[in-house]
Amino acid sequence: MAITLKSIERNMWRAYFDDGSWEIFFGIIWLTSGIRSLTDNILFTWLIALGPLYMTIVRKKITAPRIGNVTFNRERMGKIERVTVGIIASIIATVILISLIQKDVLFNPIEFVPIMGLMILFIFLLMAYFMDSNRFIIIGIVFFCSELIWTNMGEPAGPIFNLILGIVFLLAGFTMLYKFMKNHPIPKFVE
Amino acid sequence: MNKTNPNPFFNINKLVHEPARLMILSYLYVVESVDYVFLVQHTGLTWGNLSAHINKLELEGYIAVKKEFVNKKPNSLVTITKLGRDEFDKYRYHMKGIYNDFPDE
Repeated sequence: MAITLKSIERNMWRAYFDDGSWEIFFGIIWLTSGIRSLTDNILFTWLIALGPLYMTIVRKKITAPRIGNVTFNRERMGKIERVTVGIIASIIATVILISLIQKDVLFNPIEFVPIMGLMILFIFLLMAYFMDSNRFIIIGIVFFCSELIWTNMGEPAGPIFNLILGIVFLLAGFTMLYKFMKNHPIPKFVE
Repeated sequence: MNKTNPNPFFNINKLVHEPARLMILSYLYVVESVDYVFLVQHTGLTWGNLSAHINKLELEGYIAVKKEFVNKKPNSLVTITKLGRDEFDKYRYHMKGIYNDFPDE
């Protein structure tokens, strides 16, 4: 494959996705939501906070010392801004849509398809496109399937599905993290 | 008097043409700034080798190095300058010009 300036930039960008932190982040969310619903213990909801906390710590303590820091160009930062705007717009649109359906102002023609799931899928498709990572498509589809199962089969199928998803994603994430740490040892030098 | 050699191969900017420096400039061209760790990891150069090339490029004014402290540890941020960007562009067009004249196989 030809090396282009675009591919160099893309590879630099993608290096930040190789540490498995996104997989672990979503794994924590799915696992927590599964445990929370199965045990009916609201305390487990707080465990979701571990996701963002983990991301912050790992990025600062494991990823950055190993692959360094980079400030991407305006085009790349513009893409991130567009994703953020897209996510906010999707959330607002979904909240309005769901409240209109609940108040019988609007009729949902396809009740078995969860609107929330569609919104999440749309957000992940946006992220995959603008953030140059096909992994988000898989995460979006999995999220949609989870919502679909939860809407149509209810409990305990929904929570169990999420529990399994959480375990699978956590295993995948930690495997990636292990490989990342093995392939990127902390450089030994003094500036 | 124009000292430009009519043979295009003699007019290649040797400072940019050197593989390690070309690689460093390519990385810097596509981003705003990077630190030394990032360059070491992505270029595969040793710390000493990278430092030598960075110094050479900095002396010519192609790149700028900003030294700062992050969490009490020294951290150098490297950026490409306007001159460096222009020279890199010139080099690209020059090389393209040379290869475009070659007949296809």
